Amino acid sequence: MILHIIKNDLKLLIADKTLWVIIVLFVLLIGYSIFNGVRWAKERQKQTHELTVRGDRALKADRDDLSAIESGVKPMPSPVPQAVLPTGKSYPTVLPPASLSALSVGQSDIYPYTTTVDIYATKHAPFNFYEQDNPINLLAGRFDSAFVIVFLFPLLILALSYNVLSQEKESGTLQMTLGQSPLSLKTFVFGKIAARFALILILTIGLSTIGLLISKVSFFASATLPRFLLWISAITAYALFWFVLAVAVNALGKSSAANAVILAGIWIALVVVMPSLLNIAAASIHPVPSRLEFVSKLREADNYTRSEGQKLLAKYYSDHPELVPEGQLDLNDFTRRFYAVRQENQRCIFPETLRFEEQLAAQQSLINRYRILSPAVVMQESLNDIAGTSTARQKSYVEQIRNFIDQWQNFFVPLVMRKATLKAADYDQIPRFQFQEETNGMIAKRIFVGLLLLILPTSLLVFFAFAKLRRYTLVG
Amino acid sequence: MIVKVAHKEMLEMFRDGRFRIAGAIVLLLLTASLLIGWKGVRDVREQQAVAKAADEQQWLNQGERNPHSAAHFGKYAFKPTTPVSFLDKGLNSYLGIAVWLEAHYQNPFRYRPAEDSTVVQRFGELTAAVVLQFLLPLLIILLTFSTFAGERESGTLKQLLSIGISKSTLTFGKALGICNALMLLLIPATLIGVAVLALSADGSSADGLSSNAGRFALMVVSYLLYFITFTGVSIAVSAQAKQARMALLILFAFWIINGLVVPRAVSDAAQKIHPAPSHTEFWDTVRKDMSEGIDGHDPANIRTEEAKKMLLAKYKVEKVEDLPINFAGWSLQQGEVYGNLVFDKRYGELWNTYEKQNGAHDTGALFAPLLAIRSLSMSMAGTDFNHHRHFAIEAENYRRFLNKMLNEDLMHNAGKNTQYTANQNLWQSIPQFQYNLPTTTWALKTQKFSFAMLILWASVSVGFAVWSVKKMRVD
Repeated sequence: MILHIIKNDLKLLIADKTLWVIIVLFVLLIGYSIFNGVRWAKERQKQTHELTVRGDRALKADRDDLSAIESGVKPMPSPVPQAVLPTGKSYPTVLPPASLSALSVGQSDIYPYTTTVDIYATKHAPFNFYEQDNPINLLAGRFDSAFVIVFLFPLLILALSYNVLSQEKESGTLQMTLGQSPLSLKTFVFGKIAARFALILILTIGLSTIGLLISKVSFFASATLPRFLLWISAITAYALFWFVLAVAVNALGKSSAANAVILAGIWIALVVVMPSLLNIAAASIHPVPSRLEFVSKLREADNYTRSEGQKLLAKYYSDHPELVPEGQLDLNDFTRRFYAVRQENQRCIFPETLRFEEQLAAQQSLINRYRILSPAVVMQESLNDIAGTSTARQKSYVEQIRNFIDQWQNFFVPLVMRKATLKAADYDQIPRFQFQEETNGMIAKRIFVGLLLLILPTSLLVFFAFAKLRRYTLVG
Repeated sequence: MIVKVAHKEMLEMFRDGRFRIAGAIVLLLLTASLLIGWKGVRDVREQQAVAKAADEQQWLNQGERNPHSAAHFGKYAFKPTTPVSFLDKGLNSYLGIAVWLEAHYQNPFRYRPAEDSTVVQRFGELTAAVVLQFLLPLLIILLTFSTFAGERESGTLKQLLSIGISKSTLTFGKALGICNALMLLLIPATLIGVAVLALSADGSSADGLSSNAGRFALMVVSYLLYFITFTGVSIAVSAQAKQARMALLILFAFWIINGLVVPRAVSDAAQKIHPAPSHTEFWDTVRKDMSEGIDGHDPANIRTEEAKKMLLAKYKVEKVEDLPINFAGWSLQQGEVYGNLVFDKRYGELWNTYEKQNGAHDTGALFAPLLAIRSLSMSMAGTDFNHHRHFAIEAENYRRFLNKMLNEDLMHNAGKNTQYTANQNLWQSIPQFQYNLPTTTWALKTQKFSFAMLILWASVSVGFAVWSVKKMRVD
């Protein structure tokens, strides 16, 4: 019976002109969004790859130079070449895009994704340059797949189902269908919704898959397929919420026009207004410290360390007597003094930076607690997680840079401070940065919480709708 | 007669609970956003005054130092918060708040508030501008969509016209009724705005109500044009649509396209048509220009060698040691002068690319009036890219002046002393950075296109409404 309803309803839908208009529109929107996302991801891939290649090439050139000298192929030039000196070495630490990054630009257009680590690198300011992007593009946001899914996808669903019952009631067909048949209203609604649900999901998932395949995203990379499955389940849960919402509003028994107004109102409340209110609540309950005050503190530390450079270097050597180089100790030596200065800056400012990060983390956990109020926020965060453009991945990246700074300095600083020289073999010991992706399990855990936060309100709506449908009158 | 129609229209709106609720919500959000905006501006201004004073003190009390060391310590320039920005934060969240004025480098601005925010920030912030650009048009649609379509469905339209009311009287009467209802929202909001503006004055001449009245008034006019556009389109669609339901769907689609689809679509298109370099590419180019010369045929070593020859010739001496000035100071200034050429060229290119992208956003106003009002509103609030660039250039000019003063001190006073230091007398002799917000006329000139687009939208939509009502079917 239910299959019969689904089939019949699909036939009716397909015969309807408006459906085709909506579908064509949706195909264009998804196509454009995937195209934009892929372009963005490829550009990122290219940039980050080039930087790493450049970093590796520089180290390799020095190593080759040195082994040529060591094996006697090349005489030792004078002054000694850069390859011999441990100073001035650096390595790029880049955040490459994840495999499905084309699906959501997320926060990746705001946060920096490359930096270079050398012995002067500090943990409080791991990024040497600030990302530049036209601010108006950041304000407007991207036309990526996540935007289409979070904002427009619900509207498409509502456009197809805002009058799922009200129209049949208004035209009198509801009574004709149900009046003299054993078919229950619940089954009837379920059938009609199932037809639309299947149509929309097949369309969205199918089109996106085709888009990704055309742009040669490899589905067989280890992280891709599980993440794509998570993406499908998130979209399914999100679609389900909006369909059930439409049924619940229809179950109130109001006119089609009234349903349209109510659903549009709910959409605005959940997708537009609620996120802004969450933002205000989070920012006022856990305000980040003032960056202006931070600048003053930064300056104070900078002023003090600049004046005390010699003392700081002297202190360093008295704390590390094993690193004192042979011969006369030169406290004016720029390289070593600058390292001591930067370390002292880090000691003063790093706690200040952490205060910003703590407050942001508090904001984030507040949002996580209350995001159930806006399925759009839940969905956006899930999509960012799947695409690897989330705040969490950025945080992990910063964490990994900080660890790498330690690794790099542990390797180079003793050499620099002792004024030691490098051998070709030393180059094989130099640490290299490679971003460690979060495991699929960790991401899946976060997505499952998101799914729960979508399914919970959906189930409440189902109960509400069933209760209302029981008392639904078939004639207006 | 028009007044009677308007009165009836208003009465109906007030009787309908949905409009009362929607109106109340919009008014509430508008008031809340004005207060949040006001508090934001006040807080930032206080912090800014403190930070600015601290920076000046740190500069003066940096102790005895080599002038070039002082140049590396540098100063900070803090971007001022404009008084009208409580209405529209514009790009502020995506622009740095301060710039380090350091030797050798024109640094980018730092500390974009968006980086210190969570992901929900990207859904849009609650500012008066967002409410006015985004939510108020929706209220207009709700007030208007059934104005003709509803009367036609219920058959009252035929009755009305049969008693001899002309269609144009009816249209203007209905429009007037809708406007009156809106005014009930907008007049209190404007009064709050004026009060906030008067309250936020910090006593300086560039501040407060009188000196910002022009910007504020232009903003009010722009928003009125925007609302007229939506009222016109809504009346036209209501007159043409078969049923009220259809009118609502079409208008809602227009609202989505205007507020969501076009701004983002244009954003991606703008970056495709006018690609901007990534920060790595940008700084690679700057470094290359410095070492190999802007044209690639002027390497730094040859450049300095030639300049040195000219300097020696100028002072008619053979060796650097015989120069009457400090050579290090002179070299540093030479470096600055060449760096300035590089920065002028590369930042100029980058910013021109941004302006071209912004131009693409402005052109998008052909499809979405939101893009015209957004641009105008930000400009009047002083929170758009043009104002940012204006400030960035002034701050950079000050950086160049500061470095020149310090290098010249080194040149003329250091002599042969490599351990030369200057003291507070020098730090004090350098005047502080002063910045004046560009005039309203300056801002308006950057907005000619957007203003024209808004006038075009308003007149076309009014024309469309009049035409639609004339052609409308009565039953």
